[in-house]
Amino acid sequence: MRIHVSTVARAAACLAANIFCHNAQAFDFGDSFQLHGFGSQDYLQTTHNTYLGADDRGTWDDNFLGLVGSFRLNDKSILWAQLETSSMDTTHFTWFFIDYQFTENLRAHAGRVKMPLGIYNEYIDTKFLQMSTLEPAIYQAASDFVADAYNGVGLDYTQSLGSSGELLWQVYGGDTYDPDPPDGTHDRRAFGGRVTYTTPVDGLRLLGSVIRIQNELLATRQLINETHAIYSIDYVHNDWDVKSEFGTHTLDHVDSRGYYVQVGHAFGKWTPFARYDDITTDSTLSSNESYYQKTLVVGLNYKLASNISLRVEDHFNRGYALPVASGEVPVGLGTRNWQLFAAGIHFMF
Amino acid sequence: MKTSKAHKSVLAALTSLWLANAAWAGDYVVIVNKDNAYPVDKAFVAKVFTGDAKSWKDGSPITAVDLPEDNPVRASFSNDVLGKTVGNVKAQWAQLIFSGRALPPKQAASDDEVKKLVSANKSAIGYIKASSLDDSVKAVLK
Repeated sequence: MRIHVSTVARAAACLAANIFCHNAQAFDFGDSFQLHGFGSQDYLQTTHNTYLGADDRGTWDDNFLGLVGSFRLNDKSILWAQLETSSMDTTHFTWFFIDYQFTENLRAHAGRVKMPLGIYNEYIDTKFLQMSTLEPAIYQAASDFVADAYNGVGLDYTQSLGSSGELLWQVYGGDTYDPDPPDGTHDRRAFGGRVTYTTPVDGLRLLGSVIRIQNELLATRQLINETHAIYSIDYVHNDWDVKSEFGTHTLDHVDSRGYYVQVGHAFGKWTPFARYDDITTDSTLSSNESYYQKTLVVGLNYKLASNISLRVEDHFNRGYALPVASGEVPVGLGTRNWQLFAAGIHFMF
Repeated sequence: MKTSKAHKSVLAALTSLWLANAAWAGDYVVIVNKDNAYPVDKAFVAKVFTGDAKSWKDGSPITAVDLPEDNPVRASFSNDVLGKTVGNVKAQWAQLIFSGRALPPKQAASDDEVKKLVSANKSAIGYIKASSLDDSVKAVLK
């Protein structure tokens, strides 16, 4: 069912609520139900190439509103759901699942669950929690490095290593949920896992994630294997935020690779940041500007309030792999050196 | 001379006020319900207030209670016990919420409200200014 909503009006209403309620909290309806939310409104403009609907005329169509509700069913289980809407998509549930806590260290989830992949995948929609408006290249939809969610069952196990830190083991299996699967395919079974090592060094985590997906070609019913893997370093301590990830994606013998390094430092309400992104969407064509993209991002965040931020950033690109992958620029017809400018407002409650 | 004396008085008053706030800001105590007999140490409290510990030994869910973000006692507690700034802890909780992995502590507006919540709930744990402690709750970490 298509639901037409005034996304900008909703975003404005939430923003007004946050401005007038400076310390706006979640909506807490007693002990059982909580409602949180987040949203963003961004302006994008490019100097050359069309990407994410933006060209040299700019676009305001990059916006998002999400509501996350939790309902405690009993002492051990919680029902979670995220509803999202944007001007580019219908309103729908991103994920919804029941979380059951067997013991302090062992939990299970059943339903539609965001895939635990890399640092960002589970909260990729919450731009307030990220340094930049455009996420690293390996997380952008066009790159196809990450998968959205799975319909199935997952287990989380926390293993203490004493003074050496802690390991979080996550495994899951089911069918993939992908609102935009590769052309001509139907996603099927997915099995994957992530291990997160919280080290004894304050704020330093190391992560390794992998997913194996079986795609079915609709025309021939042939099964094609797909593998995603991301290796991550995450350091957040006091005013520093440093992240780096390396990702690989293999689909039907086509290999893609990408990595980024991102650094930000808060100076009171101001947080400047920089990121270097490098992605190749086909390793056999890595010297072809239609299949590689190297990007230097520089930007600045300003905390208008504890839960509202303004952001501006500039992306200096060489190569246009992502506009080609998204279908907005034909192979060989893009401009190699181009810029993308983004500015926006992001909030959460 | 009168101006100089006035300046000195103002300076003394401001210094006293600053010292009082500085001493007060670091002077907190972690409290639980008087019927709660489970052992509580600093490491456990840190796990509770960062989402890593969700239940007491009997399996009952922990109800953690925070003070407002701009409360200096919260800043002191966050730095001393959690080893992070209030902002970093808030970002960490937001990641857990928007990943569907954990619910944040309840937030009380004042020490009195924290005490009221903790004294009425056997599974609650919170922190208040040490001078606000009374016999309605039990102190477990100072």
